[in-house]
Amino acid sequence: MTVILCGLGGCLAPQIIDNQQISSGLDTTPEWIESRTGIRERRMVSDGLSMLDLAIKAGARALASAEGRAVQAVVVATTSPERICPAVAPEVASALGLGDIAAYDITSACSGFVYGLATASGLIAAGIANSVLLIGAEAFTTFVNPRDRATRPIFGDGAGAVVLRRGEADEPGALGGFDLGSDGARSDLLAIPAGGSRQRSASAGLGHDRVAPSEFYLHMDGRAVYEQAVARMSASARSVLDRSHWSMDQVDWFVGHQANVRILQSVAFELGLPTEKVAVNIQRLGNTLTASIPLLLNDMAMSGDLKAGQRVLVSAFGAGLSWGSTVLQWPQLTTRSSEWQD
Amino acid sequence: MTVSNEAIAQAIAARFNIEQSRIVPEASLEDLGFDSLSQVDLAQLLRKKLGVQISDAQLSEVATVGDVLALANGKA
Repeated sequence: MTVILCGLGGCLAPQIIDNQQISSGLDTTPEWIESRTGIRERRMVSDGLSMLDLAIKAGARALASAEGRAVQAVVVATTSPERICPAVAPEVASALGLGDIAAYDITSACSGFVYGLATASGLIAAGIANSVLLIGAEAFTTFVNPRDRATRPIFGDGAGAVVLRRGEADEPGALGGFDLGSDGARSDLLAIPAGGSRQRSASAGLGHDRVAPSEFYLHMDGRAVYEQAVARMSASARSVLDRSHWSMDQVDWFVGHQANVRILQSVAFELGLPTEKVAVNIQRLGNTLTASIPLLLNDMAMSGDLKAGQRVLVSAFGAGLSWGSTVLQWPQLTTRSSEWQD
Repeated sequence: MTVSNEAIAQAIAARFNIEQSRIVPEASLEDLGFDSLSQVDLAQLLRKKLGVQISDAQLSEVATVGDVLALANGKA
């Protein structure tokens, strides 16, 4: 028994913000943003649109791509839920007319999609579900300080989804092994300090106005994160290839979390992968956290760059710190555009 | 093992897509287009291609290609 990827869909926030617009009012320039990150534009939610709306559309498209396959569980990976409680996955399941099936959220920041693949695989391996809808959905631009030139330009909003089912190892779409890891001693490198129980406990009775507003936004030590991302993703990718008995030469595509194009280039250098095997769409979408990998896969499948039978190495890194990798051989899938309106 | 200026220049030129003739000892890393993230990549390059381990703290001190060469040869 193994787990097969059999459906794929995405949904982008409709509003496009380019580097000229995002740098307005910040002490930065469009050129600086692009040279440091590779990003030229990103999508952003507005007018009350939330990650839940994006998740529902992406989920519906993935189910359609899987030809309406019945799923017995919905897992949503998100770092920007529209509320702390309850989880959004039950609402996604209801909105999609999936009935009273198992539904829950997981939080593993930018590694959330790979952790979600492992979690969904566990549900299938344990016999709890035959098929699972996994969605990575984010409106993280709402959690970024509008006055912070270091973090404001980086992020974008969108959702990506896959359908996973029980199958056999020789089927197209079969997931190989997993490598997952974390380093909580470095949790402060990427964090939103306020809003959780420690801050609430410390300021009980005092009100949130005693906490600096910036504490409710993302704090990032960019250089340290860069260094850790390259080291951890490279090691994780090597580890999963070993476990799956794949050589580096057999990899057709490296599909890494789209945090920064320079991180991806450095990981490729470390692994000895030619840059033409490094899949990139961060220039259009920015860092969409848990959604970045399925949105990239959808872009590649739509453009024809990603073909059935090709071997894909997937790797992600994010806050936690956390990281994870897996491999799969790409299946034949029907896909459609991730644009909101299409 | 001594790391030569030519070896450093070749490695930097290939990794960072810079014309090799510009990578001379007196060249400033800033003028070559390096930023704080490139310094992390430079440490990776020196380790991977030339077998030289340089810490973050050491790297933050370097300003020129010559400084990198001196560090790589343990003379900094």
